Amino acid sequence: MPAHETLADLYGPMLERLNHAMLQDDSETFHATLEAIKDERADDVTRELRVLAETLHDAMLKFRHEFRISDLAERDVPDARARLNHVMTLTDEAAHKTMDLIEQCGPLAERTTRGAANLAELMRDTRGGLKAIHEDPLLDRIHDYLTTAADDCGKVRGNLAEVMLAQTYQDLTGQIIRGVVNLVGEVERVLGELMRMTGARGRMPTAEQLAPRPNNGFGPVIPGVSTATVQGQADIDDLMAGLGI
Amino acid sequence: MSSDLRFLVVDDFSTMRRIIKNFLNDLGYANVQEADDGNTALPILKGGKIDFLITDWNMPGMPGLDLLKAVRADPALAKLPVLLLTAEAKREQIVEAAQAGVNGYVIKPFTAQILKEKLEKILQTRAAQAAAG
Repeated sequence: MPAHETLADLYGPMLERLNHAMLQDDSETFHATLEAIKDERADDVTRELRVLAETLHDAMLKFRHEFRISDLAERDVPDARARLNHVMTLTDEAAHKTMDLIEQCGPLAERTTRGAANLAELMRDTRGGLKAIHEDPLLDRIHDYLTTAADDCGKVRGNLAEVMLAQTYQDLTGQIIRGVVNLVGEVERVLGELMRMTGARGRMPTAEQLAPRPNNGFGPVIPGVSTATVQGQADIDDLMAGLGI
Repeated sequence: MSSDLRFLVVDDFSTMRRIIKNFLNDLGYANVQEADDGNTALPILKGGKIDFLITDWNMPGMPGLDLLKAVRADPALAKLPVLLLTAEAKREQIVEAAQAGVNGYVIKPFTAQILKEKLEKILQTRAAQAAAG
């Protein structure tokens, strides 16, 4: 319906004619007027459909010429995937470098622990039988130092083992990043589909490039995102015990 | 515990495999093999030279739960001790793993103490069953 026409303008005269024909029992005029009303309504729908089609056409033209969409599909989204993969590579390398050093330091700390403890024990045994040595304060200090060195290096060895375990962050963050990489791949696929459907310019990513990797789990717990998860190992132990394991 | 036990560690992250291998070495277990998912682990297991399986759940290819089911379905491997070491923390998953016959479930990140306790518990249960049976 054109904006300047009201319902009264469009249908008023026809309804009056219809009413008059009904009161006069004028079947021919009545049905002819009914047909005219129906035709007017059909014209209305056709006009609205035409407006809708023009809007859709304009939107598709705009989309087709929207450079940003093809930039996203062809460059930005694949870039995002590459960047995330690079983060995984960097953390992997850093974790392995850390573990290389731990593996080198562990035996050194162990050797120092063992050597200092052996010397301290040897001094204690030797000095027990020799009074002059027994009273020498320098030897007391050396003995105390060796005992402390053995204890300290034992602690260093323990801490190195903890640093080793702390590298699990690489696995946990890696799993989360991999989930985001899969999601980004899905966005890329949908953008590619949209471009194909609208005939937008640009190279479409292949299905193989965009195929999501199999994922048979939910990955690490993410606060505020994960639901129905346990609250740590104690919770799991309770659950397992309840299941007879 | 016998220190000549042969372990297979299955995880798609090489970092995690190395951590577990180091941990087992520290406990005195020097015989540790590695695989990066269920598909590469199964042939090693079928080789018959593994005494203990430690596996992740979420891996490309064959995930840990499918590996566990394949192990339990194979008469030669059915009694192999299996520990799931995973970040998967949904209750339904833990129940599913238990129903599939897992012997222990440790959530990542874990402490050395927890992993040691679970390993020992599984091995003690196995030893008691062997003595009784």
